[in-house]
Amino acid sequence: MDKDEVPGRDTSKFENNPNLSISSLHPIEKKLLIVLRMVEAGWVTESDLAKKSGLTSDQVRRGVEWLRYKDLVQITEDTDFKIYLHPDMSATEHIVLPERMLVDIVNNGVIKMSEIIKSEEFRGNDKEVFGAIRYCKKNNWISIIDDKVTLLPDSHKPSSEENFMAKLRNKGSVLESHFDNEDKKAFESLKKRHNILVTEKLLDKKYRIAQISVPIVDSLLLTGDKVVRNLTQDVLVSGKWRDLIFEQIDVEAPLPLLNYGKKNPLVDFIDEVKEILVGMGFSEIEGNLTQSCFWNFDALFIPQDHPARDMQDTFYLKSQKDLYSPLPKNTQLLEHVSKIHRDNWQYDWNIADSKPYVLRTHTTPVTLQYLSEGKPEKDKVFLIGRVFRNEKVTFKHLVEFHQVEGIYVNEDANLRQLIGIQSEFYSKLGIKKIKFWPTFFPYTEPSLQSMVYNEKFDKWIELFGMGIFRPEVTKPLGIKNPVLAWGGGFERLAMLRFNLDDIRELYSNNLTWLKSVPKCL
Amino acid sequence: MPVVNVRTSLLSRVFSEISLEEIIEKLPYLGLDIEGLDEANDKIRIEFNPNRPDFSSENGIVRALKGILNVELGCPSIHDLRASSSSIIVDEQLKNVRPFIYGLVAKRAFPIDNEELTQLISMQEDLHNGIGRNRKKASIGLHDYDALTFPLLYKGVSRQAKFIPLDGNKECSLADILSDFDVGKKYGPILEKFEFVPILLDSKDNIISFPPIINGNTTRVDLSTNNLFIEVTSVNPKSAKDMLSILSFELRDMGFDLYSIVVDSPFYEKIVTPMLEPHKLQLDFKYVNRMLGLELTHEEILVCLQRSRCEGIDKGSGKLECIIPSYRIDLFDKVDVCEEVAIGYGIFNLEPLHPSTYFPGRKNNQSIIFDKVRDILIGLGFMEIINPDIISKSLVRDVFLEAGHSDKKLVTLDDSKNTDFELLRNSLIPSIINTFSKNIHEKYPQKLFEIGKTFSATDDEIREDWSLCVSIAHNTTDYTEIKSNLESFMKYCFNAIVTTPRHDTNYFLTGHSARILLKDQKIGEIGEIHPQILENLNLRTLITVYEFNLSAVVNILNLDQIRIV
Repeated sequence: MDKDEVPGRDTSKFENNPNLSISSLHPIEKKLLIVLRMVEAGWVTESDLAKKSGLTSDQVRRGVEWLRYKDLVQITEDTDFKIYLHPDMSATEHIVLPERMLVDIVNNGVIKMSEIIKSEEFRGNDKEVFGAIRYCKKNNWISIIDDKVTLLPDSHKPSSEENFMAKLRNKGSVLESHFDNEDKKAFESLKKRHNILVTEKLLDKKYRIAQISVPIVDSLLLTGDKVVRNLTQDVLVSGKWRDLIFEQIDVEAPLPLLNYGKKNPLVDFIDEVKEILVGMGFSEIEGNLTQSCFWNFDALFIPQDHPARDMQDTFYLKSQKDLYSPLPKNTQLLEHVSKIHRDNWQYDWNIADSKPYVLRTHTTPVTLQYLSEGKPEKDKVFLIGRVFRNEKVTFKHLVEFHQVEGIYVNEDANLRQLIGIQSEFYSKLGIKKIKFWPTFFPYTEPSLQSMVYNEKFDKWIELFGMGIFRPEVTKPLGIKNPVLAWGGGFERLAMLRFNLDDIRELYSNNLTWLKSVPKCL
Repeated sequence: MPVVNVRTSLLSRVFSEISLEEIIEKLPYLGLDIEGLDEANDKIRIEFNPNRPDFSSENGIVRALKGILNVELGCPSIHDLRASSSSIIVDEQLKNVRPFIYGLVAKRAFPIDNEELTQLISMQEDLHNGIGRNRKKASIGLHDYDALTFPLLYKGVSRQAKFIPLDGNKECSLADILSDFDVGKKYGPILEKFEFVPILLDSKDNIISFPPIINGNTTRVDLSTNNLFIEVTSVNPKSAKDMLSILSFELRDMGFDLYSIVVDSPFYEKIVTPMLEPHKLQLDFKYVNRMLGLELTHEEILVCLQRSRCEGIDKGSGKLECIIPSYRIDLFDKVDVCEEVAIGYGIFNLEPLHPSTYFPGRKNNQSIIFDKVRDILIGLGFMEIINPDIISKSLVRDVFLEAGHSDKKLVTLDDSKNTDFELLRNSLIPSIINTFSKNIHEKYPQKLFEIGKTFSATDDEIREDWSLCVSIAHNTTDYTEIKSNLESFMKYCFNAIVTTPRHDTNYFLTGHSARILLKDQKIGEIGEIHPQILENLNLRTLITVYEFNLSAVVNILNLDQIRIV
């Protein structure tokens, strides 16, 4: 179920670490070493290991791999041959070789060659008879004078071939590696003859404890009543620990990672940016995500027929019945804004178009309400919050994302200070190369856009926009001094921070990713 | 943002002393974005901001570049607008329809070429889309001057009137055009509520235009046209004046001689169009320096304005009069003049300045409290997730079953490009369960929390609350475990004790859920998620959850002001 469940047994984790500990044994390793230790440093085959350790062949293979990695065990791969009787030979109980057949015939009194060939046994097959004679002579069983066969004393003894066959019949099979000299001779002879033996090639792995590792293994295999693996409460309290030897455990093998609690990486990054801004003297403000068209657009000098207000780009909200956002109680403000719109944009400003609720398309309505309430002569505030755009979600566009925005109000606030504030902010984020270009926003003038140089991608990236709020925006709010404003999408920074190509990753809540982002990056 | 194509060969010809690289480098400092450079096809694609419709042609961009590159300074003007007796008479019937029409005649000894026609038509499109608000506010007609006879009559007619529309070969009624032609379908709604629709007739009773839909075919402009008649119809005089100004300067730059036209309208006195008088703004030199943070001399400010193709006059006593060409419709306030000075000065020359006034920055109270909430939950082993505020109906249906889905207080989106985004969540529980369902291959136990906004409709307004949702998923999680977590959290974070009277809802296992009360006020819910919901989301692991209104807790416990000591 769990990929982390076998502690430290993922050999891939070992691969980069040549100085691995051999100070501890897994129970499988222990069983294998006990078997191997019984034969000192002799070779043991895989099948023998399995049999004697009581482990499955799969466990043996895995355990041996671990031990080999620790340099405790050596492996050799031998070829061997398993020899057994051909099914034709093993089928009948008393099969005899032709040479023995010949001896038996002579023993029964048939001594003339011509008669032997014609005998019931050989049925005129003279080739077989000559073959039999050849083997009989080799065995020193017969002598032939003229046409007559005479048995010699050795004819009563079994030949080495007969002995070997008897052994095969008895044992079923014999390994070539186990041959004695007689076996070897018989095998050489018999393998040339048809349908007597079957030879099967065997590949067998064999293992042994490396000679130099024997003392280490011995210390690892310490057993007995005095040896325990762990300190237990019982052992502690009873004082038994004084008499015990504690097994060495593996102190270096990697272990499974724990589940842990942590802040979301994006929230964490937002916090870091908040710290920077607070350090620069900005105070945090907060406000609603649902806003009236008045605050989201009208108060920002965005005319009611502006394309950005289309349902195509902005989310309008409804419920079972229509929803209407409460407009500012200060009717003077409404009148002032309405007049500015009529005068500048030459259209009939309609209060009905100011009332619908939208999901804020930027954080600026919150800033405006803050300014409208406090009417500060000087101030420095920021907010980081969600904004919404009715767009298709792609790797670089989200429907919901965060915006960071800050303002600076003061009697002497000016454009160069705005450039100064931005430069300081970027430099605190570690961005060194920046440039500023003029741009356009309906509610700021002059307006600038900042470009920052990203070393990783070796290119300039458009970051925050900024400007001084237009008097058409600040006057109705009762703000007399210039208001420097800057802001932009936060996720763009976060993608640089977390090295992401796909903005959607930030909100995927993929636990693997969430855990993989280190707290200190 | 709109895009204009500029020929690199034209730039090289006009600025023969300056390299193309240097010109391209300067473009962003006019507020232009280079979208692509295609030298092989003699083309730079340039994005311009919609407040600068005068940038919708290459001539407009060249005009501004000349200033910033010191090739030609000051306010461009058309001194040789020739008077003509050609006139347009406006019929009273158009009073509420599209009452304004401005026009001009442009003459040249040789015909318009293909590149010029392309530029003019592309400019017309940009003006229609931008200040014309998709032709609703104003629209332009280009005509072959030699194919019509003055005076013209601008009047309202019924939709039964017939003429041969542009590129057509037979007569069509206005009604047919509105119902059958693509332009009719697209722009017809502008005229929907009117009984009479506007047409422009020449003295021989030819319909030469049906604004803002389509021109007539008789005055079609092609590569044999030498002389042009241009008309702008509009719902207000400013839009008509602005558009015609921009077109006037474009035609002058193309080498046309411009002739005015008299408009005789019952809505105002006889006027002569185009109106190309520069407009003027008064301000103090000091104001400019204060806004920009500079200490420029009067003379320097005047040069900066000239480089921005405006003109400044030192009126004495620190007073500055800024003269603005009529095509710069984006300049109407003192601050706009400041930006022109900054652009003329060169934005790259503005050194950063650090405000010296001290402000003690601080996080707001809510952030501070939420940070502490996070601390405790992280200590209890929970991982923070963030989910969208907008979720799908199907998720709400899967998790809250019918009861939650038919909630009358749900706030929904009017229109969305994605089916995953249909309503504002009124609880964080659906999202958190959805997150579990997307992480079924991850190690268990999984312990998640989210702090997020929830939305509900009250009367005709929307209420927003911060909510905290905490949830545990593993094979043996149960009410005891989640309640132990809730009580631990409330104790460690707020030193508060909650009570949990039994309460059944259909998304919790019956008998295994409760309400959460703090000081006898309902703040949330706790329980074991109903197996039906786990099944709906293909979850094979048990889930327990609690959620409460964090804003309400802050209120009840009076945490809205930070007390350090």
